[in-house]
Amino acid sequence: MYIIETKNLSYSYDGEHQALENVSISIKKGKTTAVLGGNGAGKSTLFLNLNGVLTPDRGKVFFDGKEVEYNKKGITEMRKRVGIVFQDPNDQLFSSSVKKDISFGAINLGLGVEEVRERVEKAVVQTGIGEYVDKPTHALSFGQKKRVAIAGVLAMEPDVIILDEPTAGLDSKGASEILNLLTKIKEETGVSVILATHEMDIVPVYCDDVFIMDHGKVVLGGNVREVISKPGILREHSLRLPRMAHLMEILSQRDKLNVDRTAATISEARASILSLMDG
Amino acid sequence: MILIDKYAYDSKLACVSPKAKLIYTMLPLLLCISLNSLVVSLVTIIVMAVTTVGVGKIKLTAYVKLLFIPFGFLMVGTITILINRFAPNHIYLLGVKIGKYAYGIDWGTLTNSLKLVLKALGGVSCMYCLSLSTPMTDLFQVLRRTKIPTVIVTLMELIYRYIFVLLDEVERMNIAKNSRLGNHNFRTSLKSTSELISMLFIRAYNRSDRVYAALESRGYNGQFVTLDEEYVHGKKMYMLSILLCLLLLSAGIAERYLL
Repeated sequence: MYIIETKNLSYSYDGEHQALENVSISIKKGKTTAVLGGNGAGKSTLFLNLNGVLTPDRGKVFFDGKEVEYNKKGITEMRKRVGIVFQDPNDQLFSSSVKKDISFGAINLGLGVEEVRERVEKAVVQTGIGEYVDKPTHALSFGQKKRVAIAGVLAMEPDVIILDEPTAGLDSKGASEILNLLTKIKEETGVSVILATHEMDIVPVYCDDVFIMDHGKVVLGGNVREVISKPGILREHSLRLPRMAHLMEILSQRDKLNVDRTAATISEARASILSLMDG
Repeated sequence: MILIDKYAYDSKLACVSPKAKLIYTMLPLLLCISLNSLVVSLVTIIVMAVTTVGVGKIKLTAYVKLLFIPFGFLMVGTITILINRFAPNHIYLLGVKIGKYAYGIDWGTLTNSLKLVLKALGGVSCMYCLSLSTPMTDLFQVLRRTKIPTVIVTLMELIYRYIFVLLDEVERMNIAKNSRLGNHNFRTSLKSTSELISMLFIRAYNRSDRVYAALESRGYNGQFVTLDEEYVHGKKMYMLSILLCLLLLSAGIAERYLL
């Protein structure tokens, strides 16, 4: 079951260069989908199209099986159901009060005050920001701001959360905290998650499906194992294998060991090596 | 400025309704300035200090330090009133004769300048009482309910929020500039500073684009409506405001007619 599908989506900022060219992707409901690609690959443009901030030049977008119409009603509906967490939380948090910022999107949905208050409380608990919810935005650290930005999107209770580079600018602890938080939220609410990243190592751990973009086009898509089994295409588009999969590739190619080359996480690699030793 | 901002959030009075605090500080401010009396100013200074330090639990040393900031300006400003030119046979407290006139201090200039200093300090302590107990966002919320056009309050809110983002950016750019000898001599520092300013403008402009996209994606429709903060009701504070105003008024009248 797909929550979002695009068919030949094209978009250009200036009418000359195609920022998106015939992008066709399908996002599974309740799963985490990674969109990989270097800077300028068109990830952000794609997300803004999926949220109605930009209107596609050509092509169609289906939400939950129904075609999205880019008129006022359709766009409002889309913003209700697709939330974006932007890369720099300073772009997203416009209010100096954390609580006010979280409530902004929920209020724009036209909900009653009590309902908004409940949702804000819930989002604060879900993202674990209770400790600093009464501090001013500018007193928070980067990672804390990121969580507040996520809370602001969660308060809108969307069906899909899109995160643009959720781990950029965070230390490794902060990054894994954010990703675990997302996994937890996904389990609790059944929301579908799309994340843009170029950090390959998080993909096999946290994601189910992957789409690879380059120069506005989708060059490869599928589940994580399928994509990892094509290292050639990854390298062609200035991406690399996850470290573990790279190790497996070397073990198999150079050392002629019969390991599972699609093992991309530590536990998969360990299982593969152990089974080799047993056999 | 960033420091003062932090005190407000730490204050024990931060949770009290900002409207009550506004009345509690602004009415005495008006009285203190319009009554122009020594006693009223002194009472204002003491009451506001007790409110800020005693009730709000701002550290006394920090408060005194903050009060010294305007004190310097006050000193410079009142010297011209304190020292006057007199006829040589005038009775003065302190002074020197230069040529045809005498220059110095007499009772009149002393009381006048003392009144002025205390009046100004009274006003300042009212303002401090408000700003050290009320975060800006709370004030915006009160302003929203007044007749001030919402677009202006919204602008204030956005400017206040992005001051800190810009400051951060300036700091980073400045470090980068210094690390590449941007302040090597006067000429280069002028040049690199001008470049920094223009870069900052471009960055701010680009950021505004991104902020707008982020706002749009959360359903921005031209209105910055957010959840109102909930406060402890300021009933006590209103009562205290009335009492304080009565106290100040009676002190002012007493000084004028009894002393």
